[in-house]
Amino acid sequence: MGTESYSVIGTRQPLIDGLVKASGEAKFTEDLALPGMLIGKMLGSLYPHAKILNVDHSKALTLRGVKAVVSGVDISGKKYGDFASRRDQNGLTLKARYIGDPIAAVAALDEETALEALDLIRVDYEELPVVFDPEHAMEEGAPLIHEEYQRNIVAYRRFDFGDVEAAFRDSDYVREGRFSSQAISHGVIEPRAALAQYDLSGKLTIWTSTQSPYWIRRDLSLILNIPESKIRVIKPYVGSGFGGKGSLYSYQVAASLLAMKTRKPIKICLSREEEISTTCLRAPMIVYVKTGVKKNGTILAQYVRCLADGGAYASSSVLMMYNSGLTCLIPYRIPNFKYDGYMVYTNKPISGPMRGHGANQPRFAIESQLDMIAEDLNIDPAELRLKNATQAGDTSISGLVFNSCELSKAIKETTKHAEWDKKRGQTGSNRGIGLACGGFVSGARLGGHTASGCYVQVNEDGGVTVTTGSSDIGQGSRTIVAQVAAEELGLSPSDITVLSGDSETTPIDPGTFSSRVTFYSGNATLIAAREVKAQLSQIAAKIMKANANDIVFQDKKVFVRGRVDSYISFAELAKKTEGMGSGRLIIGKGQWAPTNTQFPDRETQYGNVSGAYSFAAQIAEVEVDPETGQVKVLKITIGDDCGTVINLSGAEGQAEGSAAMGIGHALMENIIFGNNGQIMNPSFLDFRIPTARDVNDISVLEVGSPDPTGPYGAKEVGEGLLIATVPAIVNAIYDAVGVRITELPATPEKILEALEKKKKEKYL
Amino acid sequence: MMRLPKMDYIAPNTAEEVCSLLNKYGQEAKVLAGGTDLLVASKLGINKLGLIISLGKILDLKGIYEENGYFKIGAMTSLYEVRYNPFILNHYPALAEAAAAVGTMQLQHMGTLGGNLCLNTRCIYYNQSNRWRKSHAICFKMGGYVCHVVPKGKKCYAVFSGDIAPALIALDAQVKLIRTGGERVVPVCELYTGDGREPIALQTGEILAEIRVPLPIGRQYSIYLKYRQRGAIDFPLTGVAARAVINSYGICNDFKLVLTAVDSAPREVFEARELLKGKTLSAEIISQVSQRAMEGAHPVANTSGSTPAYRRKMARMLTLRALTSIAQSLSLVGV
Repeated sequence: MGTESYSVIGTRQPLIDGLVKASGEAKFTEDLALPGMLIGKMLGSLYPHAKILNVDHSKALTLRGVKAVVSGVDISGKKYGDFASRRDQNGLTLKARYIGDPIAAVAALDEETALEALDLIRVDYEELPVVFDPEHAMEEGAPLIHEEYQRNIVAYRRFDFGDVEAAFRDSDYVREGRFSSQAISHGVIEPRAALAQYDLSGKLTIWTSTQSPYWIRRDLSLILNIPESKIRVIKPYVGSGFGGKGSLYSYQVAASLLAMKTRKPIKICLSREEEISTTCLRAPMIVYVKTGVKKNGTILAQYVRCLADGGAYASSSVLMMYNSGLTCLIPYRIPNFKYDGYMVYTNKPISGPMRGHGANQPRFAIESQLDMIAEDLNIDPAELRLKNATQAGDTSISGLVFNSCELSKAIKETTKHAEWDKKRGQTGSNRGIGLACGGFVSGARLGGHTASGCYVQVNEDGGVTVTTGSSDIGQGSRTIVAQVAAEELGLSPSDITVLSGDSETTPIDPGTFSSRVTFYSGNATLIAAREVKAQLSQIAAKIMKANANDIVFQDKKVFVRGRVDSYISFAELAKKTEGMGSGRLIIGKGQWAPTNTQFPDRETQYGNVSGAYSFAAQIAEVEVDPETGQVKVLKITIGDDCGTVINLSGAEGQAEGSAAMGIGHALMENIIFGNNGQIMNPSFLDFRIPTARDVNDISVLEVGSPDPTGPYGAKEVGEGLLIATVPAIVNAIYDAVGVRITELPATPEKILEALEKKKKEKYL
Repeated sequence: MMRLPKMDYIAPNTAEEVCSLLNKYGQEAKVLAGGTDLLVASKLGINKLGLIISLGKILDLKGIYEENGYFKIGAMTSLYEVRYNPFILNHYPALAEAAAAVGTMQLQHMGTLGGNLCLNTRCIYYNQSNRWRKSHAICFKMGGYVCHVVPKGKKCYAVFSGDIAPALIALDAQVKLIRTGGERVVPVCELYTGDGREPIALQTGEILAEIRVPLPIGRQYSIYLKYRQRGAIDFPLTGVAARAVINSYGICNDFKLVLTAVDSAPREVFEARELLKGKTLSAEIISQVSQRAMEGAHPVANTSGSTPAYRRKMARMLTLRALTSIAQSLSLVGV
């Protein structure tokens, strides 16, 4: 691999659905309508912690146009949640655990009536003691948010590899620090929506904005107490998810319940306020890091402790806290490593998966601390990272196997491109440059369903239909699978029709999360397309009187190797195939999951959860105004090792999006909680994501080499890049003005305060 | 997407009709200029409107012209037009800068000069949906008797966040207010009550028709600087407008410094005028004036962006920068 030349793979491909999206023709869930459809609205709790004694909806039902009201008492099934061990959600709750926790839902002829009806529903609450601070929530005697979880600890993960204590003793230098990262909303451009229909046969169909029809079907089946096969989940076009749209949410349960109750289609669309307050957020986390190194900067040991504020429900808790530890071991060789990760319940909105999924917070802490160590030991931060960088062929102390890794190359190329040596440590300019690294799994294998499937069918006219389980939520996976099929069959991606995201008609697939789609679905498509190619080769061989192995598919032509002039077109071959003998259908089937993973040991957690790992180095250049503390990010240079690039435009899009999202996380995005745990800024006016004015120059350098497991050697590109952006910016701020921000976001007031403090100390 | 509640809508052709409708419907009716503030508030359920009266069809409220020593701007002139008007750019840079600092280009096309002057005060406990506010007692701004920001406060502390008002006050501008059978012309600063609950001093049945800016006499310098977290969209967390009239010896004959987003009304720093009058813009004076700006700013914790302490610091820093910029322009022309 690597020397092969591809015709489609690695090129710049416009998204095959780009035109319909850009023109506004693409239909998202909110655009859909069915005859007789009713509009649903959700009623949330006014209190952060309260028993729901009674929901009286008699008055609401008397309002003209109101058709039904449902609440917790209408729920007949079992609780649901991302992981079987942590199923704690009831859809419509009987005990409110945060302000906004959905209690009831109403269906009416129109939205105005539904909203009016909400005000007529009378809820009797019995207020309960509250706890908002995760450190308090862990104390003995703190109010229990879910009775079965002592000290409110919903997840605890622990690693202990090597001998950390001995290694700290052997270290020439040990540094400890405390860091914290804030709550963030995903900022999806399409607020969540669902349209549910229940028919006479007892089948529930739900069109919804999701990353995973599979998970929605599984959890709806649990909570509604109907078989999975009686539920069809269709994912229309989705306006991004960033991890947050994987789980089942109350509004989807409510739409389904109301559809079953009224026998009418029900549509529920969340407002931005509901979107921010009642779905999930990036977990606020406190991270303690202790690192021991030799004088030359070689890392000997690291101990990482995380305390995540989980909010009211478990969501992905166990996996998030696993990731927070696991991802510490990707970018660098750490011979002795210990980790304790806690997630606790609080009476605040839910913390759930978000791009990077638990990796971002400890990575910010570690990369900040590495810079501090480099300064203390007078080592260039890039050198320090090169000295410890993971190399291809390494196995981490925890069992992660890195078959491909170009992190060192990423560091070297980004530092060269950004003129690191020239720009670093310029005193007096207020400009600074900072480096950080990252890496991520290409799909984590942690139990449950994980494989991806694909069918490739050749149509009479030579068009090809790919039916894939993958869920495109805007990241471009439709185009990726089209490219794979096109590459194998010598076609162009525009010849490929991709059907995806329908639990009834497309292969079972867990969906889009954990950066698994290109890796898994790409491989499944590759297998199916190669099967089609093999079937067609046999027919072509017959027609051309040649060996099937010598048949070449290229530029929509089929010919015997070396005899391109006597070709037949792909369409002609397809047509001829139909008529062969008694007639033939060309269908290829592919299903794939990596075989090189090793399920983590239940005791020690030793194992290899992913078939491949991405790596990244990032350099941020900033200018800090020393009089106001304001930061301008001038440039971000990204060295991306995602293995073989499949779609160059897509990979760059992921990189640029990561940079913008990282700027938001580092500098401005911040969910503010009131003293009752309520979100104070549930709008895009007050929850500030970067604007085009806040994002400047971004350079992307693709440095990967083919990975042996990924399709054509590809690995993930969606998450590993983001986690390096935040510490790169924070390290650059330090380089610019000598101020170390350990609590995110790095706001102007924090920077100015630190500058003023520094000035004072200087004169003392 | 949030929807507008049901309400009646009318778009009269004359200002007289608007005034008589306002007299007839009182509190139930509101005038619609650009709608960039009013309609957002309606969607949140903050105001319950029976009738919305659009000013969009009234030609008299549009247009920019010079007359009797004033530069007159119709209240319905878009902020975008103000931003790029050559006369304004030339003679009232503070006004052009303030218009350019409002929201985004899209909002500047919709938003009007008069509308921005009549901007309602804002608070993180007030600019929320009805449902959100139900988790709290009714505050002064909503007609209740508590303030969630200043717990022992006896009044509403909602913050005035207009960009245009400080610039116009600094420029000594006036507004023409019309009502059925009459009109009055008052300085822009008198448009503000200082009460967070009812911030705009329009009487029932009265509308803002025109803005009058005195033609500059002598060498006049003006500037508007705004602190916000992002490069666009945000309301000011602190804003500073300054105007200085400087004679050919570099002596300041007249000076005005006005702050925004630090109080329930735009706030002139009167001490600054006294400090500067008859003096040159020396570094020392600039520093003293900036200190007064900080002392004159009294923000409270009712925004999502910054702490009050930081916003006060920014009042000083923006003043320092505004005056330094004027001093630099002076040195460029050799004064």
